[in-house]
Amino acid sequence: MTETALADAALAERELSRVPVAHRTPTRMLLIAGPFVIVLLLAVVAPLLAPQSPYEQHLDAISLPPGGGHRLGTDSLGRDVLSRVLYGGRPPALIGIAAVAVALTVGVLLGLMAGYRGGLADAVLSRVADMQLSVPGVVLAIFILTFLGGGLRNVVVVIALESWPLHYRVVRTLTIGTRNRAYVEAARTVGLGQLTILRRHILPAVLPSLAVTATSNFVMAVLTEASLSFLGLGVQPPTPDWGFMISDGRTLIVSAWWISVFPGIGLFLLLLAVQLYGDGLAKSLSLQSLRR
Amino acid sequence: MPSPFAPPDGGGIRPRTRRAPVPPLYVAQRLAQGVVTVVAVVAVVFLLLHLTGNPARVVSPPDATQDEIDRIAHAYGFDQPIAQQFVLFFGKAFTGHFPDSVTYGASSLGVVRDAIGPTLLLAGSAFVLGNLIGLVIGYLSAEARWRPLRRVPIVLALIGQAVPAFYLGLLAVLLLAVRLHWFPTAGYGSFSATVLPTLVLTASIVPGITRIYRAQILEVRDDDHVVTAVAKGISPLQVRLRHIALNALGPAVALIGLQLGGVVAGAVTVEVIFNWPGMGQLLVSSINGRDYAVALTAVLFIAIGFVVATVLADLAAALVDPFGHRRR
Repeated sequence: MTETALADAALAERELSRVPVAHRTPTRMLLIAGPFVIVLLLAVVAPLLAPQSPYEQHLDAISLPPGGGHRLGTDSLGRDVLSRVLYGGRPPALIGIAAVAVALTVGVLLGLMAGYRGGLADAVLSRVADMQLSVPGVVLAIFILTFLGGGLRNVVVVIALESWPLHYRVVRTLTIGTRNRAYVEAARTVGLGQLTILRRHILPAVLPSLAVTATSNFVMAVLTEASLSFLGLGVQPPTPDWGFMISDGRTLIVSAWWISVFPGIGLFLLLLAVQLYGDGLAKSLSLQSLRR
Repeated sequence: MPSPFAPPDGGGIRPRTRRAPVPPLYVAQRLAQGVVTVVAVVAVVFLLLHLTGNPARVVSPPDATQDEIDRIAHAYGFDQPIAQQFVLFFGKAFTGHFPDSVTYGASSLGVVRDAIGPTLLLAGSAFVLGNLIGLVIGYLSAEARWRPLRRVPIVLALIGQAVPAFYLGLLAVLLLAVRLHWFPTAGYGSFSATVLPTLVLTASIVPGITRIYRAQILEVRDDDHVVTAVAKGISPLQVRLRHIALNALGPAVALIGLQLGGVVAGAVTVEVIFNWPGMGQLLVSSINGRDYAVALTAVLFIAIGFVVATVLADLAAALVDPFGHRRR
């Protein structure tokens, strides 16, 4: 009895010691995060890099090709494409981060509760999460945004609503796997409160997996934001936004390809950087099974 | 006296019992859940319409007078309690009666029905093609002997996953239609106009499937049952196909089902890019034109189609991997 409990504790110890892997190899983690950080930084310091204001119109310099005074040309209102591409990364990045933060909070809280307590709450929440996964998210998002209006906050809410089950399912499964471990039993025996147990003993075991689901979620959030903006339902003009800029230049694609192509490259680089980061993270935490 | 070494259950050799490939209870559960999901989606849409205040005001043009708004509200039944409208909509839908479209002046059912074919053609062929190609490439990238054949698809898949479907469509139009004149830029009806949108949507599906299947194969490859099969002297080809490829398919199909949402999202934007007269295009145009009847009917049909597809994917996964749904 004592022996198995000890073995169990040792196992749990090993499980938990996997958590600080990230601290053990800081250089590696920095390298993986590099491209992502660079793209984010570019969006943050856009005001320093942009040659012009992204809103400044020059109606005498419409749809100029790249080169000359404008490195990446100008759009149909004579705005500098380079400046707009630099600024255009802000809405996707901001919406991505905010939506993931909201989805994480909801998913983690509900997942911990459902996994630790079980019972009716678990049954109901899990059904709802299953159903959410079999709902065409973008279709609902199109509907919601049309009637509630686009804009930053609504897009964040819509994407978060669509993605919380992702975190919920992982947290719930891991919590069920952890809740009867010897060290958790010990914490209960000592008389620690439920909240303390969840926060200090269960949450740490869940964190590395969350880092991986969060990056997957971020990719999905940026893609959704771009699609919605492309359909004209996301961030409203004249705010520069990659998805909207791509659709803006669509009708001019024959005569002025640069208006849509360059924002698309920005979007591509952001998504690629996050993918690389997610893959690397999953690999160094040996959680590849969570990536897809 | 039986040998002391004989196992109590007769050596584990039991007559094979026939059982349904997928438990009927599971099928029934999934179907019931699907129906609930469809009703829930429409309920959410109804609630949303009423959250915004008077739906008649949302539907009518901005310069409509109060009298006109009232008439629209009455024509659509917006003046009745929301629960009643909800029940009424479903009751009528069951008997094939759908609200009339404002823009087309006809039943929204006909308008939506015309859009189903094109979407099924586009999304369906892209989904089938994308899965087949993705599975083959995924298999090769895990098992191929020639190193480049294992490396190149993985890098391409990583890059491909970072290109949104609508951007890929735009680049395809720019290069293959505008510059090279290989295909028309948009249109519907001819084979040549079908190729480009289908290829674009297919290409946006392939990377995800490739990565999923490859990961599953790598996971299965070192399993005990594979070692056993090799030890039994089963031919390497048989081991690869029956013991590795087939066993990796189960979890892969389950994950592929979860990707359906992405396919629908891709289809909507690709339809808009190529001016394809399908459900996605119809949904966007009806919402922009405030054609409430068409939008609602379209959402109902998309929800049904999507739920049917998810249920089918789940059942397919259960068929290939009989114990999968218990594990998950």
